[in-house]
Amino acid sequence: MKRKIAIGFEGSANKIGVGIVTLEGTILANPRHTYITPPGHGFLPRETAHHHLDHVLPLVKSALETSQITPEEIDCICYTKGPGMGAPLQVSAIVVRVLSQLWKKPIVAVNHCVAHIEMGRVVTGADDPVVLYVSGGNTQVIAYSEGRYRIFGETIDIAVGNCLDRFARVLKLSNDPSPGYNIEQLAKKGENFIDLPYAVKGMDVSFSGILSYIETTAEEKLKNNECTPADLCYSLQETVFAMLVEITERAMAHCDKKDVLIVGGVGCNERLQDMMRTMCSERDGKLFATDDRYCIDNGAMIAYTGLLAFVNGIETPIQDSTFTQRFRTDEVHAVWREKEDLVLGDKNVTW
Amino acid sequence: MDCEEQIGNESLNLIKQGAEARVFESTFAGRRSIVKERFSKKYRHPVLDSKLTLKRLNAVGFFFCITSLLVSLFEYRGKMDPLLHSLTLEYIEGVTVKDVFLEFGANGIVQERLDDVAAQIGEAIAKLHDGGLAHGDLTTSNMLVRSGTNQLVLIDFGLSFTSTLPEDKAVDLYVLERALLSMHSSCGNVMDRILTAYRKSSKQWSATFNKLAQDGTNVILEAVNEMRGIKKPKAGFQCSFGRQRWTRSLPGDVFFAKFFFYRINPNAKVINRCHFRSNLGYINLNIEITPALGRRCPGYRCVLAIKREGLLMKDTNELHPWTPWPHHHTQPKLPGRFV
Repeated sequence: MKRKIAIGFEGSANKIGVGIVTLEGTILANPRHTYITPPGHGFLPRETAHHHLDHVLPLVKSALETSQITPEEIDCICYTKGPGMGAPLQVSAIVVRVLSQLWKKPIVAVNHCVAHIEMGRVVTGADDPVVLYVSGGNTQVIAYSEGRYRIFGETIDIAVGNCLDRFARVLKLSNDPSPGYNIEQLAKKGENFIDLPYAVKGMDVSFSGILSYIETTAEEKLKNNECTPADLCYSLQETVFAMLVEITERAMAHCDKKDVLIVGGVGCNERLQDMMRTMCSERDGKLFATDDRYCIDNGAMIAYTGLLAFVNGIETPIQDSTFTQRFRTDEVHAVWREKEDLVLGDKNVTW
Repeated sequence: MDCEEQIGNESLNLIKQGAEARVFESTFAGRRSIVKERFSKKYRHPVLDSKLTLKRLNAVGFFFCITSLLVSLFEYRGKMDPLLHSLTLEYIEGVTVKDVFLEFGANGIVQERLDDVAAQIGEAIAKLHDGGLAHGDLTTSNMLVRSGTNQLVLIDFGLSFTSTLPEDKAVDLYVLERALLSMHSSCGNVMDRILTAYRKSSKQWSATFNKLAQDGTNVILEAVNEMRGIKKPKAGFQCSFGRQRWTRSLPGDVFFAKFFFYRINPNAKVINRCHFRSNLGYINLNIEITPALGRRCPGYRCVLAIKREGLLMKDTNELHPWTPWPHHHTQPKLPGRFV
């Protein structure tokens, strides 16, 4: 039987990525390019979209070269429908429509959050975990129940990555490779724990209050030499990650699941992984985490999830291949999860 | 207290490890009891951990005193040991509301029992809130139904705090709604029944519901033109509130209408008389905008597809066929504005 191959386009934030994968989860190529802004600045939609436009075609070429695949061998073309920033999302949607007509291949629209989860599951082999999805735009605790990925807890204001990135701007940390990574490195030198607000509401968390607090007090404390920037990074990480681990633990207790999977950009943070691992071992569970190749937005995750949907009969007609800034995780009907028990349980059945 | 040594001698059997504490079974003064031990979290920074553990343990201890005075619905008053971070409580024979609802999901709903449990949940929360307390972690796992009497017992006051602010009470209800949605979507709209009971029992329901209503109560009606293979695919719709959207559209075009529903009375319905028309015929449809509709549609977006066969409600897969235009093409009267 011919192997199924998909190409995926990801461009919901400041990274543009093209990935080629097979249904078994083998990644044939996964190049990406990140739009990096000067220290103290964030990325704006219009400039990010221009960046994506400049890089998308070279990325497609390099992906095809690395994977030694011709367009004829590809089964479907997948792209991020949302959630994300409108202008950058538009780039991949347009490229996909063009390629679909050039290559005469069907399109599959993919939810970004679901793609992170599916990629995490295939890379780590986690079966039915509670998923903590933490990135610059999203903070959600997700678990599968009754055909959908349900959101058990989430941020009620800004995302955790957003909180860290904006604090990095206050300290004028470099955005290369990412502000979160530089905070993590600086936090390793921190010694004193500074008391910060702790905001857990049921299974939800809130970060904007912490950010306002640390933004206003940081300047004064640094001026009076009460603490160092490293101390602030350390305390901020300890506080926000403790909140995230706590709500994850709540979700685990609520839906009786043992394992945790961390996905999303902030998921690369080793301190967060450490804390989560400690929590899991206390509950006799396992932590599944991935490194920056899969945690951070990439094309392969879109391709893989799109392919899962495609083999289950889902296609997006070209006139519906739109994009949307708001696209909740629980809007997607995870057909492949329902069939997984039926089909994958029986080894004789092939896709 | 005399019984203190007795506890040390009793064997402790671990029943469950929750998110915050381990729960053991034991006996206290000859009665079956529960020992709840709040363990320290190794993943947390020690300073942060001791701050949170003590704060929450004290909250629990403080809360039995108040709640057991306030009403008899809540956890039995017990004994608190601040050094061991442990509490001794009454052993309640029964099942969690979560299990009750999950069973409904699996084996079909027993309407009477569902109504009873929902009403009791509403009453209990109302009493708690009127007494100036917010529970902080209202999920279906934190409610027990006593076997025999079928009385509802709220447990786990670890995140509770005193508050008279309507916001805090509304957050409580919001957390509960989300828990119901994520675990028990197959049980129908339990939340409406809970809110009805809450409204009956609470004297301050109005302020709380006002805050609750500010949150995500818009329903967006989205009609997608999917009339493919027709020469002039005209389609449009107009609802009794909202401006006229009668246009010639192409397949793939989307019409939006935004509706607001009032959460203050969960039984209140706003009936929207909608008129859909295309060159194939017309459909007059009453769409009830209720909280239930919002919950049924993911993300509060209800999608309708205008197809050649008729109008397809995507959430329920109901198909309303076109009524063909009369021969002379006299157009029917448009529905009047909503009064």
